[in-house]
Amino acid sequence: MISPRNNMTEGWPEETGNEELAQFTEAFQQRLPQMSDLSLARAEQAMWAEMDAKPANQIAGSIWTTAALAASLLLAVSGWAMFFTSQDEPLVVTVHKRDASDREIAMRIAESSRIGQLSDMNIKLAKHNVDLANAQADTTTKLRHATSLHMAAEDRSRFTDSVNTQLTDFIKSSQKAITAGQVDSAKLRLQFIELVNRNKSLLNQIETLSHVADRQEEELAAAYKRIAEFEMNDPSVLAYTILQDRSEKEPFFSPVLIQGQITRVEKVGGDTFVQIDVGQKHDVKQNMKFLVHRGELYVGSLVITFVDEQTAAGEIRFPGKDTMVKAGDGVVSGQRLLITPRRPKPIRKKAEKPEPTEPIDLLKNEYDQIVNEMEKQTRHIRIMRQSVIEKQKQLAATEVKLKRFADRNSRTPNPKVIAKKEIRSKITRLVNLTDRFAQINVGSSSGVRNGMRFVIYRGDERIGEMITTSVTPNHAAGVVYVNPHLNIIKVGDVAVTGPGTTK
Amino acid sequence: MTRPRIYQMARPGESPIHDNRAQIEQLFHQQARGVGNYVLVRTADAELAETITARVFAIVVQRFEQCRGNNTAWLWSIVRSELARYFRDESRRRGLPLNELMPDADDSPHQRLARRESTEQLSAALDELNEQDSTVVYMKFFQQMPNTEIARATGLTPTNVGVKLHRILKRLRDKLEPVREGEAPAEPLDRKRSNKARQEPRPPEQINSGATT
Repeated sequence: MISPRNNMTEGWPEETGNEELAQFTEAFQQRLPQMSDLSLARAEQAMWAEMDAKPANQIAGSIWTTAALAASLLLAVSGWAMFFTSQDEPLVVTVHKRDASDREIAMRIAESSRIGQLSDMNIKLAKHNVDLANAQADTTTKLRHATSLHMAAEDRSRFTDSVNTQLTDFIKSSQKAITAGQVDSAKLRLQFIELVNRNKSLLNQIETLSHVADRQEEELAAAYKRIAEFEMNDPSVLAYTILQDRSEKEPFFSPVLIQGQITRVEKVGGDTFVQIDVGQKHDVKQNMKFLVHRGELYVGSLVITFVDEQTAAGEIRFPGKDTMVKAGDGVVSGQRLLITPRRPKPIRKKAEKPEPTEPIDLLKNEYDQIVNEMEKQTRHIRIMRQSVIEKQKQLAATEVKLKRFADRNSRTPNPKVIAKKEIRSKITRLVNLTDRFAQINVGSSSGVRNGMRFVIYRGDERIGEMITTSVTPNHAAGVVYVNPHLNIIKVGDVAVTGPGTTK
Repeated sequence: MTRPRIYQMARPGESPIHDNRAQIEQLFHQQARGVGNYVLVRTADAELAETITARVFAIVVQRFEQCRGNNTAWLWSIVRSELARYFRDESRRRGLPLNELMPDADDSPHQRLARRESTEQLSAALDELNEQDSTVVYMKFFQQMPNTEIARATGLTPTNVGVKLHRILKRLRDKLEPVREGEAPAEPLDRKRSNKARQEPRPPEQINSGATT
């Protein structure tokens, strides 16, 4: 490991090849082996053991030195004593001969023995001290070992405490998390139950609302119906509807007989709009043409422009000259009523559609107003012309019908022929409802002739006329021609001819 | 490694050892790794290097009162004497077992052999250095000391230290990198020859460089 404070090239002389040498130095530094940490730790342990053992060795060395000095002193004293005693007489003799010196020698011997005993005791004491030092060294070693063990135990205890603390914290946090999760779960469960209940209530509300919606739809349909009725009753709406639905096609009669009655008459401007009591249910269709009559009187012509289920409405196109359409007038349509009309004279366009003047000097509103007025007058003129043409057609149709009836019996009927005296009869049979043939119970034996006109009464009401086309001695048959389409002639009605029936 | 309990047990003035504990410990932590690495290079035996290192620091403990002046130079003298005592016993210089050379479970036998050969080459190259050069190499490459501290420990000037290191490295390069461009390969290192070289008179350059100490 290269220390950052150590520069390997520090102080090198400036020479070529220093760079390569620096690279070698770095490689050399990295090539050096490294002693392991374990070996260093063991060396340190040995060093500490040596350090702990040194005081005991020092004490033991000092004790042994003291003991050696004491032993050498004792030996010196003993040698001195032996030398002293070898030059004199034995102790017993000297005691008897020279009391003073003997006493002194004895005292010295005793002292020497005491010194020897003292030396022995010192030696024993030194041994005890050595043992004590060894024991102290052992105690120190054991104490150090116990201290290290205590430290290790403390470290383990500290580690255990930290682990316990961490575990306790973890358990607490886990318990908190579990509690929070349980609380959240309970909340979610309550929310789920609440949502289920809300869902049920919403389903109930939806069902209720669907019922309400159905009811409101029914009410709305009824309201629409009422609005339609109201609109039909409103003259402006009726006129507007009719004008909106006015078709440009040629009016046509119904293929089947349709009879009805005018229920309402509205006059808007110069036009007359009516409502009848037959509608789509009775096969009334738009642009269908009806004849309006009041009894036997032709009132006008109606062109349907609006058809409802039960009612229809239209415009009076060819009103009668002296008679105005009223509520209660009858309307009738059917192809049997068709006649071959005379071709009307072509209407000169100049008279029908005068060219509007260019609005050079007029304002646009005034121009529009004038144009509308002109169109209205033009339409009135056309209606008047159509009315005249219709009258002519009607007259022609009556003549043609009479002619056709006459042709069927190969006789020329004379509608003006009436009996010279009154002949009263009863209709006994309606031969053909479509052709309006009727049979009466009087014949040639009673003076009835072919082509004789009978007036049909029901009670006092005059409901029609019949012209005989076939006469037998006891019966006669004819066709109702004035009001043949009213279908009101029944068996039992009275047919009368005579001077009183001309009115 | 801190030993607070031990220091608490030691009473100041009771024994000189207790007073020197901190200094010895500091010395160990500063220089033990360098000592161990140097001994490992020289012996090429991890266990033996550990033993010699432990012995060096046991001597440090025993004789620390004798230390006067620079600790590194004093420690280096102990290291050098212990290595010399080891090398005096020629019987211990016989072939080293492979498994004793820095055993490492992760190394393959081939790697161990290569490392052993490399260490032996290093050891042979360092053997050929004289005493002062070994001192400089030890302090520079094993104790990571700057040139000023080396100069303070050896009595040389820092410039002289740098020049000496430059020359030593060139010689080591010649020994350790025998094949270079434009140069003949150096003679293979022979441990016996290097031992003889250590006992025989040194070249004039080494004598001159060693005389400066």
